[in-house]
Amino acid sequence: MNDVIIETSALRKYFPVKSGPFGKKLLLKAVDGVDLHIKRGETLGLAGESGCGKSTVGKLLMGLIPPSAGVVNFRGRALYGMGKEERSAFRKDVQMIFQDPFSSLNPRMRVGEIIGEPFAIHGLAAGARRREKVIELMAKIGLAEEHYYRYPHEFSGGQRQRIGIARALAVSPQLLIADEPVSALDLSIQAQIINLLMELKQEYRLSFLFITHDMSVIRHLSDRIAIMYLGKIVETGSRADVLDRFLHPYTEALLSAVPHPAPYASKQRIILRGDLPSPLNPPSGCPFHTRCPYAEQICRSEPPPLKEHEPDHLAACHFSTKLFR
Amino acid sequence: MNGIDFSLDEGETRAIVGESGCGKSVTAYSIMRLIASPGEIVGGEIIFAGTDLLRLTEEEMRRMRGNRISMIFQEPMTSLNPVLSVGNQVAEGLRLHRRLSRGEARAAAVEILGQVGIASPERRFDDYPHQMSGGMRQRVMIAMSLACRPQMLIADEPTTALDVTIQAQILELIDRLKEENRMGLILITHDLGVVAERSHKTAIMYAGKIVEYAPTLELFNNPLHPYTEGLLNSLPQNSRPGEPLKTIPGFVPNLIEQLPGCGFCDRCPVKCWECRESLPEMKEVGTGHMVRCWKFR
Repeated sequence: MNDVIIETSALRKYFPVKSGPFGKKLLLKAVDGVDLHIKRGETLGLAGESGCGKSTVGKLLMGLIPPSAGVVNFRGRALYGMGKEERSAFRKDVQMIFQDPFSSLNPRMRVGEIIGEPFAIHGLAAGARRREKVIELMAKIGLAEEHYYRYPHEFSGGQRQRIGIARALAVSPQLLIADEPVSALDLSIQAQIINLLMELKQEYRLSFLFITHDMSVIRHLSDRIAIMYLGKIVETGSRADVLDRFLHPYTEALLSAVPHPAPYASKQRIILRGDLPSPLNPPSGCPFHTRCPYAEQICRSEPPPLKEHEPDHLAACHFSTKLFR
Repeated sequence: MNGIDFSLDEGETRAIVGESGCGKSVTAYSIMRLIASPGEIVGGEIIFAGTDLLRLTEEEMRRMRGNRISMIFQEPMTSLNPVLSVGNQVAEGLRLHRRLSRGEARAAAVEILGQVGIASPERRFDDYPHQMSGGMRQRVMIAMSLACRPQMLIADEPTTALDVTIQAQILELIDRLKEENRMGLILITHDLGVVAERSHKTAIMYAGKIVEYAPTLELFNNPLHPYTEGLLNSLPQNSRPGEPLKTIPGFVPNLIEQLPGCGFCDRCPVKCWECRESLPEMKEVGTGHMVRCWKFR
């Protein structure tokens, strides 16, 4: 297990929520027992609809919020048992790229300062040497030296996302957590940023957790994929396993819902009925049974375990084999 | 937005595709005459069923809006009135345009809410927008816009704020209602996938101008404008997983510094000598296939 860089086991995050002024306290189970791991140099794509808990997983792996239960291990060491120094090294090794390139950069700092700040925090380089390193990074992500003294508002969305990427790369991290890094960008800019991320991954031998709802982006970038629904992973496996040989009806529906940019490519579309159930009051049994076209009696009462159906291909459905093989 | 020519027949779907800030929403707002000051429609005409909308008085236009021409807005979160129950928002148009009584309008609104797939509509009638999910609110918006059976519907990014599984539901719903009402539909989106599956003709906009306009099948199979070609090539679906995507270099220009030439010339791989000097006209290249590029003259 040496090459596993980060892993979680039975990770849970519950948020207490009050309903109404006199309402009783409820628990919002944002992440409810998630096991996943990322190997060195690997990209794990984490997909699901809004509110499924995928961003919370990202925050837990970053150590931004403490889990309610379960563990996060970074290179074999428990994240919530680290001493101060180890913790600070962790903060250098794991970096994050945010979704919104407008609110994730300090509007009062110059670009050079934004990208240089991680060097200052971790005491890695100062003065002229810091400036030199920052300019080197800026060149790598496609910004010119003259941009050093500019402010974020002078840049377009795509350029700001590049600045965010440079800031994340400044301290040579091992793991990058990217939460919807291209969804706020225009189509023609998305492709540029996706290419940049892939190049940087090669060059720096980075591991990636790529969180997105966009199935075409995830297909392009991921080595392995995990699909989340209501705080649980419902299917995980290699890219080809999950996207082409899926074993869960939710994966099937999610893929089928994506409109294809090929005119009148007539395909049988599975239209899920209803909305995502409230995570405050999740359905009994299988969380997906309220929208699943194949649900039977057992699905309403028995939660299906996440079971290894084929080597490294896990799915949580009572009828995986019956439906898809 | 600048020099848009566009037409739509009964029961047909037209799509306008472009990136943020290219002027596609402004086109829609112009048709509805909803341009806010200091914006202004400085020229041209919008003919709807034989009448020029730009010559109508504000009063006449008000009778048109929500009645014969309707619009679905992008943000289901902000486009509904938060202090009015959703049922009353749907009924409002019916009382105003159809002069229905309070009771009749309520009955009609309940029926429409049911048609757009809201479960137990009598009960949901008195709900407020904040009690509903995004998909539900978008259904309410659709119910509102369709209440008076308009002849034309403009949908401005109707599903952009929604998850894919909900998007599929909503697009299917709009399609079905369009068939039933023989309604013309203008679909404004940045999602080429949404367009490919449901529009008859598609216009591609860039920097405030339509740069290409063609039957959708033709447009996808034979894109002529370098921007259209670049856009289609840059889709992840058109590359093998893990391979670099084909990109359009540079970034979207802002419309304030408008230059005389073609808005795309800084990013264009072709670039003829005229591009920077003057803007090409729309030219018909194949049957019904119009393109604005100096490559074709």
